[in-house]
Amino acid sequence: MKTVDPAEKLRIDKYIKDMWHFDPAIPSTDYQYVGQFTGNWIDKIKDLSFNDDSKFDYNRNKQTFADEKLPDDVVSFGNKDREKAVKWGYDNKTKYHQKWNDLPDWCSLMGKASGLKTPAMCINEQLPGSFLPWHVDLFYTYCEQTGREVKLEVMLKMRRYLVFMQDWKWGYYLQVGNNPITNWKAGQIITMPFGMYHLSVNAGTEVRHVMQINGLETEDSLHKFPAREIEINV
Amino acid sequence: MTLLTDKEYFNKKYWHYDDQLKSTDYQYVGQVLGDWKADQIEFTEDDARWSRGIDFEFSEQHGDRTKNYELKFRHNVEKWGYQRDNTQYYEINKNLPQWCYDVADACGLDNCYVALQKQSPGSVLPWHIDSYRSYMANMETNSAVNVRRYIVFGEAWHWGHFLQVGNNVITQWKKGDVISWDFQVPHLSCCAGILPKYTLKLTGIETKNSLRKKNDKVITI
Repeated sequence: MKTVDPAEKLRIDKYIKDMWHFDPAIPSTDYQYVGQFTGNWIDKIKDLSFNDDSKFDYNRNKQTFADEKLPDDVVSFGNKDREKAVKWGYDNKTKYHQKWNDLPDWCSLMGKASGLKTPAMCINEQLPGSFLPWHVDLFYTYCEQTGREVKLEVMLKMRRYLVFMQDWKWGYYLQVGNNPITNWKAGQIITMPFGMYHLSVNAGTEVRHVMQINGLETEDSLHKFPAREIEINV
Repeated sequence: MTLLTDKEYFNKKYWHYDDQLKSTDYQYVGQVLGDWKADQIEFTEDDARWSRGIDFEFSEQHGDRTKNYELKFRHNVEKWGYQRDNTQYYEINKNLPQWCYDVADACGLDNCYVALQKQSPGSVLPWHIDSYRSYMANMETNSAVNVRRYIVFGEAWHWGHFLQVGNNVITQWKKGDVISWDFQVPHLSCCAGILPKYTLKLTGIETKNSLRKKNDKVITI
């Protein structure tokens, strides 16, 4: 488990509180459409397999920080998101698969094409009836895997791309800030600024796959350019 | 009571069932303005309902053909992986606050059945079509084809609240917005947010005086 300077936690928390309006009635644009991966990788999606090693429960596995209790007015840091999710009613409804290892080759090709530095990929499989409640990404796993400190300056350089692995189907729903995202096409990529709240649910009838590409922003990162198509063939 | 035929329940002519088609699958009916507060109504565990699986007990009034449809739906829900925990919601249809009946009057459906639903965070009402079995059991109507449902949003949209009718995901509504859809268009409802979602469900027979048919789409109660 990581330990983080308490003062740094509060600084990150303050940043998150200040960076968005938190008003569901404001028609703000809270995510960015980055582009689309095209190519024959789509034919390989059916070969993905998930086992017990990739089982993940947002509520259960979220206790990354084993340190002191934070003040009640801290909104987002450490175990706070989990505590809130349980209170809202999400206990035992947040199981899904998160596969970091043994990913197919086309995942690394996408990571390379992303223009992010030291990209780390994972694929999430969300079953019907599974929720990922309203939360902020704090990149715990990425920081652990790459030996980085959890500091605001690092967080602000971090970037996560979400790549939809299949066309939208009934009941698939992602929301970033005030923006519902639905009816997507396979390969489409979106991103959001650090600290933006978001949620995801599979309220449909079939499993849903989304890939994360996590890394540090560079001048060549895809979201720095107008949205475009990138062909990935294996 | 005339039950739907199997053909009416299972015929796919009413919708295309293609999730990639850009179709318009619901209608915006209008808006009822008022100073009610849906989130102040108390629901108890007696009001709890959920998408019950094949253990659901059918009564005589459901009728054999309706039962066929319901069983098909309930088998699917179990197969997809839904259970009581993630499908529970609350519904009250008796002794509702006066504003519920005032809203129903403003919407102008004949023989209107009024129910208020609360969907707590972490709940899905999975993909289904309405059978109107309860309505048909209690009201005199020739066929479910004549029945129309209006959904009135009890409070303004909040994060994680959505309805999906056919291929249309409905979000960001205003308090009192009213929507409807044609018979046999499949739909689902979800509260993936942090606050409960409240909807007033109106079921009745549409006439020329119904809100959807009127030119003036905004009514204040």
